[in-house]
Amino acid sequence: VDFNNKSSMVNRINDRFKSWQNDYYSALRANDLAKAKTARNELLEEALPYIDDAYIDFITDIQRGRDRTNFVADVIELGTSAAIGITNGQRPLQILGIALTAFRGGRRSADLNFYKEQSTPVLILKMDGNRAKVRAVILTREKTSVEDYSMGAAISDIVDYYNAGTLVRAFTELQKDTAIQTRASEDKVLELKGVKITAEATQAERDVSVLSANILGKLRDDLKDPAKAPAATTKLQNIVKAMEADSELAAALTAAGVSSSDTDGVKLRSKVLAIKRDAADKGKSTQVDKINQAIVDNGQ
Amino acid sequence: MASEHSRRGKMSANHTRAYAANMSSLNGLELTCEKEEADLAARITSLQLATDDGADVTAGIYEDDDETALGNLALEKYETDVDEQSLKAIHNTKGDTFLFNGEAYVQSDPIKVLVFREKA
Repeated sequence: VDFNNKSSMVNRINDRFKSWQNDYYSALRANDLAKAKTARNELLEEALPYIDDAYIDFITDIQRGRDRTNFVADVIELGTSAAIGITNGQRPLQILGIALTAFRGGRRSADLNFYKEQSTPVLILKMDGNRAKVRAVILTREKTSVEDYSMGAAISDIVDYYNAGTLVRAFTELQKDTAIQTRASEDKVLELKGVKITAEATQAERDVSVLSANILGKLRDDLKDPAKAPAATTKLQNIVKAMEADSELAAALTAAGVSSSDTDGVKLRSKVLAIKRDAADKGKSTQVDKINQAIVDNGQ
Repeated sequence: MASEHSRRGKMSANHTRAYAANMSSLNGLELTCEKEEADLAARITSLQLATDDGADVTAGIYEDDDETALGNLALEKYETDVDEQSLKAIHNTKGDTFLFNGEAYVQSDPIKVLVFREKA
């Protein structure tokens, strides 16, 4: 295969496949689906090595470091004319010919810049990956009947396999990868604004907080028991009284509408908890520590 | 930072807390999370990598829970699926409850963590 002479390559491929296509259509007319399937698969398996050879020539050229700007002329893809041909159900032979010779007239400068930013190994790896994906699809489809996988579809897959080994497809897939990676990166990191950093806790700080929480938990349970509720309420009043001794906490208690003279134990407990949560949410660790100490000192 | 949302028909609040990326150790993070649960009367639901005003932080999300005694947490670092399954099996044997997979910064390095609730 002379990849540098694309017209010649296409003609040679088309000549080679002509007999297989004739066999295929003859078998279809005779309703011999098994023979048609064989002809289709033989054509596929003969076509792919031609494309593999062309691809090897192509990447060898790239690896030899040909002037990159010259490669723009090598870029081939399934162009508009070929897509129209397939849509209108043209004969596969024509479609293959159209598709493989469907050069793009020019490349946008953005594409050229993108290409120049890529290293050759990355482009080749991407093309290898693209080709392997299409090859896997073809291998799977070869097992299906001609009713589900026609000669036209097989030719389209050959074209797809060819295009998978082109720079255009490598560009497209790399751009897609970049977009996906960017999105994944954005999804991964939660963006917070203005959340105060909580300092790392020491064992002693953690222990006081946990003890305080356990005391509040016991008071909650005691308040549900009529026999223990009065004592629990007294403890909560003492906790609030201790908090009232601190000006900031006193202001918070006033704002919450609770004082040590309140006799509703459930209300006292819920307000103490709410003030503690609010202080923790606002990163007021000193206030939290004072509340915890008041609970530990008066709630046991 | 707290936000209200409906869960199982009951209003509960979420609290988002931020921890510096230079947390000294995983044990330090564990103590901090336990203190946070106690101070907020809330259970931890996730640990994830985040930025806070552009700086790398570990974000901890907590959901109000004033009805149950929460108990201690156990945070374990893991790297592979094999590590993960082994650690889950070890904690399961101890009767601990697996809570979630998370990510956190320790000494400014991002690590993957498993979070368990120790058996009371």
